[in-house]
Amino acid sequence: MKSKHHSDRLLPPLVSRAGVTALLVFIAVPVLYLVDLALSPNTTVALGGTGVSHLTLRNFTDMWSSAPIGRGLINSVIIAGISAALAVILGVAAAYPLARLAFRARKPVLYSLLGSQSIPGLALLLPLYVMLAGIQGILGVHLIGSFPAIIIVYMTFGLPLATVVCFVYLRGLPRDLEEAAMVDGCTRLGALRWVVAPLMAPAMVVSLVFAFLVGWNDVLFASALQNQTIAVTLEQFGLAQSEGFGAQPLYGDLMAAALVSAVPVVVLYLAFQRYLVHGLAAGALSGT
Amino acid sequence: MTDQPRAGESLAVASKSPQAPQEPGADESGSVAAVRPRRRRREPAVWLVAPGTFFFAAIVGIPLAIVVWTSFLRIGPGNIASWATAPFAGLSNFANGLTKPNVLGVSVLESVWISIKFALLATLASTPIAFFAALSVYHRFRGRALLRSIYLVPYVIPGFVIALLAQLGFHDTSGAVDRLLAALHIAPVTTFWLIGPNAFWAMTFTEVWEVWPFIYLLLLAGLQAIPRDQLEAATVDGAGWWARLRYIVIPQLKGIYALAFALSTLFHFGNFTLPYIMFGNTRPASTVTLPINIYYIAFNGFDIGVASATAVFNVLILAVPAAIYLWVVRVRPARAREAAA
Repeated sequence: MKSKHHSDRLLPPLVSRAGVTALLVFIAVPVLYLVDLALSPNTTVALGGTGVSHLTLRNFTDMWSSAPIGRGLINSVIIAGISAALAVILGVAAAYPLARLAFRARKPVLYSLLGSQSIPGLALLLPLYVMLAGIQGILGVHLIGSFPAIIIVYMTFGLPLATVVCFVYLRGLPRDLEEAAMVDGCTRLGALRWVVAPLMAPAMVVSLVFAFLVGWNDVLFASALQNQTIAVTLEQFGLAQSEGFGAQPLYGDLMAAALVSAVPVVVLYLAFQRYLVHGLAAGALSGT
Repeated sequence: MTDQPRAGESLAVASKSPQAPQEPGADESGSVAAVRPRRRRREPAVWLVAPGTFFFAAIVGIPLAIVVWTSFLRIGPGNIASWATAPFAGLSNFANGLTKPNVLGVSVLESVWISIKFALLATLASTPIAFFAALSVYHRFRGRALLRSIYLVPYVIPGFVIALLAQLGFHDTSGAVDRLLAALHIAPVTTFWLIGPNAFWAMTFTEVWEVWPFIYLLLLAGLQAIPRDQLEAATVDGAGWWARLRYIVIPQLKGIYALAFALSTLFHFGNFTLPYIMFGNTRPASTVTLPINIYYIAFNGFDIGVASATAVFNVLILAVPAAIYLWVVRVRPARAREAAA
């Protein structure tokens, strides 16, 4: 009985238990520190006080007027949300021919998608800025600091992973259903829309979450292209506090706002964890 | 399996010449096309790849081409607006720009070294944590799903939040790190972590805390791909946990670890958010990684030519792990897959 129970263990129970405990402490201490700071008055945080004796929810009501947190959150939801939705639509569309059809550009496209993960953002930021400024000058439209520009940028950055995740998932789906639909007179596009797309829901969820995180977590492009996302708002808020100029730093408010901007992402991630872990592994491992 | 391009569909590429699928390499299954009753000249669904490709070319491809071009031009604060007509600088942006200290006193080559150290140390330090974590949630037990979720928490907290927290936590005197070290009598409470050489270690520690779950995820995926009966058979034959690890698990995780190593190093190397936010107003020289350096050359010095050259240099450096990555996940010929299936 005992040996049966232990048969799939890869570590001796004692090592496992001690290590897991240490790992949990390693993970938990910074997280609890963040929560504690968010619940502590600004003065306490500035002096380095921690503990449970002084906890208050005041930061969560004060922070909205200390910095434009509300606007930052709304902007981020709009920007990251729309760019993620578009990335998924384009990703599914691109994944379908890549997975099902043979064409000359197939390999170059797949290699570009995978290889793009190694392109540093800063290599793209400079010319993108110049391009947008140029288009702005020629067409007389406002692009830098506008929602459409940053949405298209984030959509494109979310696109490679969205495409690869959908591609890998699609390869695992049998062709029989769509072929049956096509035999019955459905066009290929019709089969994609009515037969394949509904089956791809898990891959689309994974792509959506990852693409959303691109926009939610980015600081570089949002700050250079002058978009007040939550990340940029908090970066500037934090900088203003640490520069100080003799004023009481509002670190409690800052940490409360940081916690508020982290919670939706953590919940989103953990809610779809089962799909995401599989999707991430598939994305990284895709033998194409 | 199902991923083999089908004969009829292969004609999609053959719109110019019906012979195209028969060419070696064009499509392996083309030779059966003749027996398919329904021959189509062109498969319109191929064009579904076009919108994504268009945006990818516009937002990634064209800027990449521009940055290569501007790396050979003399563009400074004086002529940014007319950059397209800037004088040709040959290789001087590369020759001079890479060794000249920036406004923070750090040259590009020094930054490259900082970034390499940072990326490799963060990956190497993450490895044992990730490996242990993956092993610890492999066997079935009550609460395994919860533990797997908890392991992901550092990874899923936004990077800017962790960077802000690290800034407070590593603050001298008031930060948790100094107070903990002082309480344990390891270091004085006034130890500086956000300036000087210590800052590099504070940054690296934070990076490890934040990103080790990425390697864990890949290793766990690799573990789950090992057939359980192999392990069970080994157990029946009397193999202990160490023998199972040594002879079954570790050999089969090598490939995926190579992949995790390459990807993780790439991500660490390119991390802009952590050093940028964590050292907002102190910016010690030891934390001027390559992305930070490019940012300062471009947006403080407005030395666009040199910034472009540095960015190109950055792309070239990352081509090494990228090539390893692409080789590991290489596009296998369809014929090999067919044989395997």
